Amino acid sequence: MTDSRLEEYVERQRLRPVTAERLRRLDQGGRSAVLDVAVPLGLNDNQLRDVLDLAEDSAAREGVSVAEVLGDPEAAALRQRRLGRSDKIKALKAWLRRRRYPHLSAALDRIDALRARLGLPAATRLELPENLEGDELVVTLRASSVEDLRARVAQLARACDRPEIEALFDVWHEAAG
Amino acid sequence: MSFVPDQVWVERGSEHSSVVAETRARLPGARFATFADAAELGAVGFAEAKRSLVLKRHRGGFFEHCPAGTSGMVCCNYLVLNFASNCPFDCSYCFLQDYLAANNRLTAFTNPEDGLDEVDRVLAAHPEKQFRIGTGELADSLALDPVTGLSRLLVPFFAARDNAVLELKTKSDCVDELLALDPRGRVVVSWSLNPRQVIESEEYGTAPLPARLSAARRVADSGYRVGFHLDPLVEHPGWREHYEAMFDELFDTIRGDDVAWFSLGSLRMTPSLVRKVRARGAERPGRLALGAETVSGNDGKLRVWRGLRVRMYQAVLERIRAAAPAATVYLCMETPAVWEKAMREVPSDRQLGQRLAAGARW
Repeated sequence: MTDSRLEEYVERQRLRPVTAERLRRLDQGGRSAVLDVAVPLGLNDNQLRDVLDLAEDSAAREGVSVAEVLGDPEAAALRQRRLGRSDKIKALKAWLRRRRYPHLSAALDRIDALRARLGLPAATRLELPENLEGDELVVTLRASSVEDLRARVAQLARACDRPEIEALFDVWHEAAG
Repeated sequence: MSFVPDQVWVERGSEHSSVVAETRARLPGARFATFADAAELGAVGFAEAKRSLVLKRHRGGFFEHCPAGTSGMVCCNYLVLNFASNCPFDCSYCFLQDYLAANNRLTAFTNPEDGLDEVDRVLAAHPEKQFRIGTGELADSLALDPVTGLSRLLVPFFAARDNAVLELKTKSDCVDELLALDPRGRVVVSWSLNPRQVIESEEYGTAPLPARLSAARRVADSGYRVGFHLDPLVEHPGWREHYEAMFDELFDTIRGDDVAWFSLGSLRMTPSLVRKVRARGAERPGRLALGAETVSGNDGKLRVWRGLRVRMYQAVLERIRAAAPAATVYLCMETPAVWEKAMREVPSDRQLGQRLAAGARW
């Protein structure tokens, strides 16, 4: 059953031979678990590779099977959420990424929480280096007029006086080593 | 533990070399055959490539700058001398799986004397400089020693030079040949170390931790300085406790004073290597290497993300400093920013090279 489902999926998504082979190489439980995710979400080749990388690496990290990772009730709940296909895929990959990178995710969560507490408008963004791999925070202000710009700068200046900004730098520097 | 190849292939023209004669004498029961062109041997998978041994003449240069010296990284000015290519061990994370993909047969070169001539010319041209030279870049320095007896050529050569130190880097316990030789302070024998959990899961075919440490104790008692490479440090659930236990075993066996240097290096893999590790699947699972929290860096390599690897360096460094305060510790293939965070200093390449050369000498 799984094998015919697998071959149908491979054909429907026109998976590259190397990706299809990778899928076939999984054990029976792993193949079945991947298909339970990939078929209803219609994962294309790139999306499937991302999911396989994250699921296999999480399984390796935790010493469990791919079936156990993808069969996690949280993953199943994500797929039941009332979201569009694209958002479901995004949510699944985000969930897998958190599982794959538990320490990095925890550090980013703490930083995100502090950033949110600063209450900056969407036009003002504080961006940390990807995966906390760099030394500089990038501030982006978007403004459509001089007044707008002055207001953004003033908001940013007020944010810089709040304790959260110092906490954010502390958490970042501690997390970044 | 000693490697016994299924088959020894001898290149025509090399039959009378000292390496072949030594190998024949040491492997009396092995199957030997000759070949004229390497193409005759055919292509084999990576694991199979390690089961037979090719003995052939090396036609290029033996001696070069360590390829790990990449722009943007602090470099220790290490030189490498390649007397073999590939190794009988099969570590899941080994870069040779990618680096030697097109030429993967385990090979020992039959003209090591030519390599030593190259070294001699460089040492003689720069008598004012101190060189650190290692044979463990494209091969394990000692894994083939019971077969080829190469250390009996290398140790006396370096023992007679004043401006070079040879490093023999290994994951084996093949030190018997060394014990009868006098290094005169010019040879450091070093071990790549990891906790038992990492060795058992990732370093297939290598000597277990107690065997490596016992071998280190024996060479230290025979007049060699020893070194330890905590490289790759493999991040995994429980890493802190596992490395702690490894250091307990290390410092129960080795005195800090015996150690010339420690290097620390994070697990690093190119995306291409990761694909190869995945593709090998059940043959060599690489569970801990693939599961580490690695992300892509500026040089395109995957490493454990910076904050976590700095914490690993700091934890390991603290333990080393407590037991071996005088030992030189350095990071391999790391940026000045990580040096600053982990080591609280950023030496120049030259300073680091000099410090290590000095640490090697008695």
